[in-house]
Amino acid sequence: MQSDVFLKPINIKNMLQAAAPVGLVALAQLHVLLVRGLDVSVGALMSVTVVTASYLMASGSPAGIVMLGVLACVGIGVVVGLINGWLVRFAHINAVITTIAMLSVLQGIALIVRPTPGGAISSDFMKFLQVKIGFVPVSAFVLIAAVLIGDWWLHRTRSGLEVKAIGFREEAARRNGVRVNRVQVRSYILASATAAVAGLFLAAEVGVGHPTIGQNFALNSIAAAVLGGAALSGGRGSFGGALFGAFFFTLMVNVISILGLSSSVGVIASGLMTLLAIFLYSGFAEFDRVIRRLLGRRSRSAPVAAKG
Amino acid sequence: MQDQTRKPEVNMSANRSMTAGRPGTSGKGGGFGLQLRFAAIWIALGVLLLACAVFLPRSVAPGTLMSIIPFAAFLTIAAMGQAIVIMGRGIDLSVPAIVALTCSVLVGVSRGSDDRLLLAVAAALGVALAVGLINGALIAVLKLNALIVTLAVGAVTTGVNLWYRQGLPAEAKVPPALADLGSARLWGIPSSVWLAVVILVVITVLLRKTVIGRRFEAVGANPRAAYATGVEIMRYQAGAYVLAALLYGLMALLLAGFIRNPTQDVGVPYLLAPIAAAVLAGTAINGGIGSMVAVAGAALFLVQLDQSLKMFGLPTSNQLVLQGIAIAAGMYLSEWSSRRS
Repeated sequence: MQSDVFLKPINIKNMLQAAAPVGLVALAQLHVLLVRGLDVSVGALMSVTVVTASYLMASGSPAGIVMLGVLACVGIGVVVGLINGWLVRFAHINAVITTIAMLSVLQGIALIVRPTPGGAISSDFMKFLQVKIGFVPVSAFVLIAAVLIGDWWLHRTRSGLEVKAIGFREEAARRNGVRVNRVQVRSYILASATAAVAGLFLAAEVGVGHPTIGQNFALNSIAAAVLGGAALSGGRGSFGGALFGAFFFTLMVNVISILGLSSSVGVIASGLMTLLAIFLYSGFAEFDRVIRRLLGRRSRSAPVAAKG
Repeated sequence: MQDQTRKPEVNMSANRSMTAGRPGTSGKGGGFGLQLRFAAIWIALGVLLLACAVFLPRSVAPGTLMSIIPFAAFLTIAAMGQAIVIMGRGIDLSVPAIVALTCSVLVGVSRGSDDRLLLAVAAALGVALAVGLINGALIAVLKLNALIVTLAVGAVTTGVNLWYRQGLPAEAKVPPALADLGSARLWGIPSSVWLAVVILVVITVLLRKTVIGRRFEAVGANPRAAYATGVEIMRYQAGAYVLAALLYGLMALLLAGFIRNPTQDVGVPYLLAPIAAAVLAGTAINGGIGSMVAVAGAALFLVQLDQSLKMFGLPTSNQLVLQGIAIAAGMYLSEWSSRRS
């Protein structure tokens, strides 16, 4: 099957533009995955950011107000991350439950503020985030810069090493003098702040305050990060990988729409891709064991021991 | 959930709750702390009803209560499923997708005629069970992360539902017999409430009085210990998702009968509310601890809270915010009480 649109600059531009929110939210998710956490609230936070943008940067606002609006959105992200991190680390609530609770609260707020989609977002702001150099949107450069800085930080600095150490073995990290709580809470804050920036790019893409626009980003962010090699058990992963995972997802959606398949195919494909990703990275050993057992050969390791 | 992929040493909390007066270890009825854990939500419900009676008498008028009680029954059934999954150390985010697909299959197979009702009910429940079985197999056998599996399976199920819906007429209705059942009353009480009570009793007996139930609680409380005592833990872990899916399917059938022409968004409220109800009922995320009676109390609590918010003229989305706070607060209290004892 051949397509005469796929490699056209316009399609590549659209694809790169669509990759910005997914890519950024995948980087956000990686921050918490690295410390063995999980954040399901990133999608709802993006919705809140879009809704906030539709009020604070309504169309026609001067540049100064738009700047303040951007700061406010990132500020919301920081506060949300702080609450998440505090609940997980100091109230000792399971990360999944904490972020599900946060998802509920944020989704509720987004729907209270904007029960139905509405409110145009400043077109200057949208143009600014969609500036192109040639046919490459500037968001692509932002993503690449974020990935380069992120991976340098993770693999070349002491604080990045601390993050990985906590992900691998928290107790060992603590005994080596890493301030575990501080690093953990920081990871949640970084994740939510990055997700808020992802929300801003999403706002530039949709242009109106849509209260449930971020719904599917939680699954996509986890899937992209895992496809990019991040381990759910913490300590392993790279920002470059997460971006590749996100780009893969965008590509998949793009191809499905170019082939003219219905949106249900896209939803099914993203679900299957996620299952495949976690299966390849964390289920394969178990699968092997199950197959061996079915074939009647006794496996040497006890099932429970293999769980660790 | 995440604990499944984690090292044993971070699972110490499970051992704590094992010694902290679980019914299995401290004989009949459990300790006082455990009773308080499950009674708390009924006390909260009493306080809420009292507050409503004082400040908003309309919201506790018999007519109002009768109009909301079917919704409490739906939520109870779904929340029992979620509570069972949580007791087995999991979480299920595929509820809305299962509910929506069950409704679609019911409407699609029956084509609105009573003759095909039984076939449609069987097909709808079969589909729900199949989704639950996929969840259970991926989580229990392949040891994949429960949150991600159920989210992803939910996405696939939603996609399948979208695709299936394209072939259905937009105004498709459920068969009249099911609609009649949905609005039927026995001694003045809606049929959905009766069914919820029956399911509640069956599951409570199953959990508390049968070997299967006790083993299930043991697997939830401490899978390694249960494995060491010879329990086939995989079966119980996977079984939780299958039983839960059956409950979501039953709820979807009742809901479809109640609203008559279910849309594809019919399941949306059931993503977070059952989790909130299960957590408020004192179900422990460390597994093993849970009471279906408390779940019913929590469902009544949430539905009544929703109703009083509406009557105060506040937007219904406030419910989502309150649910979120309730999930966090309920979990905090449950953690705090486990740690103290």
